[in-house]
Amino acid sequence: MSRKVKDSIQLGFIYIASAISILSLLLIVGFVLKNGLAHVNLSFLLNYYSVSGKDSGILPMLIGTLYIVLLTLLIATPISIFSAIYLNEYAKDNRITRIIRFAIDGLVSVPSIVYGLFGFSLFVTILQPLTGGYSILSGSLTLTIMILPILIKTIEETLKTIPNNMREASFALGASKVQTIFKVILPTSLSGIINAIILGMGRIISESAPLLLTAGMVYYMPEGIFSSSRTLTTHLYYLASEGVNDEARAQAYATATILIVMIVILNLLTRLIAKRIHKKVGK
Amino acid sequence: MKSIEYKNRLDSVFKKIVFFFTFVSVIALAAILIFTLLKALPLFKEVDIISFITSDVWSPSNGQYGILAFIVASVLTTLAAVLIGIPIGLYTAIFISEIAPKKISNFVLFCIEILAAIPSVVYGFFGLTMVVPLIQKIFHLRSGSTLLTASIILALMILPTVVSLSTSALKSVPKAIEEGSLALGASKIQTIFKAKIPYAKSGILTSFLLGLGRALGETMAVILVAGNSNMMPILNPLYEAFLNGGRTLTGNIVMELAYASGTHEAALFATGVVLFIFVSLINVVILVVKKRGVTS
Amino acid sequence: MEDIKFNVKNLNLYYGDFQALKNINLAIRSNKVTALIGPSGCGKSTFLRTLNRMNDLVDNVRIDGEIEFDNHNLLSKDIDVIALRTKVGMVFQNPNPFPMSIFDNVAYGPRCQGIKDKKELAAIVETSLKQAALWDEVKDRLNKNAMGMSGGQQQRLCIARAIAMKPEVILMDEPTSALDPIATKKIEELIDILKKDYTILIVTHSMQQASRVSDDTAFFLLGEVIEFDSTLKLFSNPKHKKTEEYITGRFG
Repeated sequence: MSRKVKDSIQLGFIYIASAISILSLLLIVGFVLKNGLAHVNLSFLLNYYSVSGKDSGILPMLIGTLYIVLLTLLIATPISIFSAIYLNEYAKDNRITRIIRFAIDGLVSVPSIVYGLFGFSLFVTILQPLTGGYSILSGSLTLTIMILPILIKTIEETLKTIPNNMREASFALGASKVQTIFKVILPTSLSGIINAIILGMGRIISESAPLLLTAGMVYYMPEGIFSSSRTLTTHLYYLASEGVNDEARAQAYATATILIVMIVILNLLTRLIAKRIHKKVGK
Repeated sequence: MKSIEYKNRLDSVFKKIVFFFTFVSVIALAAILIFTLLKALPLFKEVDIISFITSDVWSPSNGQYGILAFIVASVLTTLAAVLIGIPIGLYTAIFISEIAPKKISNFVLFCIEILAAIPSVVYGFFGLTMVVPLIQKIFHLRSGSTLLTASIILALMILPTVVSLSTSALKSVPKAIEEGSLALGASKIQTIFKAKIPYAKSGILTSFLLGLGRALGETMAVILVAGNSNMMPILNPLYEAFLNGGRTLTGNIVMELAYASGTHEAALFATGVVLFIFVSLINVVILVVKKRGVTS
Repeated sequence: MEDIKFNVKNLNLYYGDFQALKNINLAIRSNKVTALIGPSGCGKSTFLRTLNRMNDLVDNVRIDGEIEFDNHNLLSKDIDVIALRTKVGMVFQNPNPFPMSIFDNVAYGPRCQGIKDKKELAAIVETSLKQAALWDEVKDRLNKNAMGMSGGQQQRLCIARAIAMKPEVILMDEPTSALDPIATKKIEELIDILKKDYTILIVTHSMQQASRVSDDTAFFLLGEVIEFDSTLKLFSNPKHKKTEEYITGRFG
């Protein structure tokens, strides 16, 4: 019967490990929400940040985050879609494309702090006259380069799932390559591309280290893309590391709550889209 | 109807456009390496590479730049995180792909996705307000900001990577392998551990290595809980290293870059290069693992 | 009366609403080769997989009836499925060796039973490979990965792997359909040798194969056994019109 004993020990480990995985999520989310939800209200969302802590809010950080998300996606989306189209629809399988793919694969796992270093040296210092130094623009350009590899990769995966006979069918009807790409390939892979963009959005919202080095820590309302600005994450970092009083803690919990609500919504969105893709394929 | 000539011209123009964008992304990506390297070079006019890596004295005000303490702290926290995170992650993956009914496994996968998406600052904040006091109380320490705390938080952060990639590796094992094993009188658990995991080992190993890379490169969560003192961790006895604070490679960069200049700044870029080399090594190992997975 | 290995009584099997096996009654003789023939989707593979309860792995399966094996109903809930599978081995349509060494493949089953002794394992591996007529070809490279063998060798390895469990029965689900004629011939010769020690059931698409290797043949059609008799009688003098049409190649 020793096999049965061994099997049940292993099974026990499996249950324990899964319980740890789920509980740690519930613990983190529950802990943040329990302490944070009470402090999230309209005035917290709509007020400026005040160092004194009275009636302090996060509107500038919400706007700053919004700026960085939009600007980054504005630059990164077309570049990554076109690059993915090139790699999947045009590039021949030769040494150069293999090197490009290898580089993209490798760069996905480069730590974000390295991107931050690069952004700091190029955008904040060398290109200061153009970017304004520490600014939303510098931060967005840095994050653009950071999410390019993962965006290109995800979009290319989507393009790969389109069966070749669809392309052939389009060509056989006299469509040109451009027409095939715009009328068949892009519409078919639309939900996959949107999914990739939402994924990128999640990464931008969550990212902090490179922004600390490129967008700065100014807590005023950003006046444009050349202003320095805090995002929600860098603000949370500031509150967590500097804020020792109860008021700062409360604000930190509330900021973390908003971040968690955002990423849960984004994840639910990707789930929904994935379901739609599934249905399409099923048909 | 558009003329054929027009169509052809449009085709070649578009081909040039997409090639241009690919070129832009490749240039941008190559620029990272070049810039980081260029900015690191001035350091080596003053400090030789060997002493940069082997000295544990980091004192920019005295012109001393040795990052051994940070390398050791990074390696220790990463290894400990992996030791905690990998078994939990792999066993959770087994639960999802082999044991749980579909609805439950979908729910667990969703939890794992959320865990993956939580910003690292939130992990750090959670560690700072929850785990740091806990560690302090349990071990009766002066401060709970220790490498152990950092390792625990990192273990949580690499869980999603290990779980989701191991799950897909296990799910892609052909049914024939499972049936072959069961038909030989192996139990379900034996089939998982003796047939399916060996079959999926290249994918599972890759998930471990990617988790390793993630732990090594993590910054914000670590600086919030690790204490960040620039002292060399005490290695004898080893547990002392984990019960004291320390500073990782990533922590060193983010703590000092904002006010660094000259050689000091170059030393921080060089720290980034070292980090980059570590991650590239992991990538090479991943490549080898994948290749061997394909040939067998 | 002859020795009966499996006594199948009133067996019905449903996938959801679809009835895949209809009232099967068969008596499978010990130490004989029984061939199961019939067109695709007739239920012959499904039937084979009920004999070692591999259908348990499929969702939504419902089975009623009785299969008597060693004085027990192997369909009953309290039967130890794992113990059953060690007595009723199986070889699949496509060779499915594990991606490990030849030795480890054959030792897999015994190890799962808790045999750890190296000498004992080595002895089991050697006799199993010899019985599967593979020993001479692989004895010098037992530690090589099994995936490097030819398809025919892989299938004989899978047979050796099944033999290593010292089963009473070996189920073969179209074991040669993925193999070339020469490898097929070797497997058929092997079946002829193995039937001295084992009861063998073989699902096959090839009427020639059934007539070459089997003692009894059951003809399945649309989930029913149309005719079951000694192979000689069934092929030379079929009682049923459908059987005659099938074996003369008029459908299927």
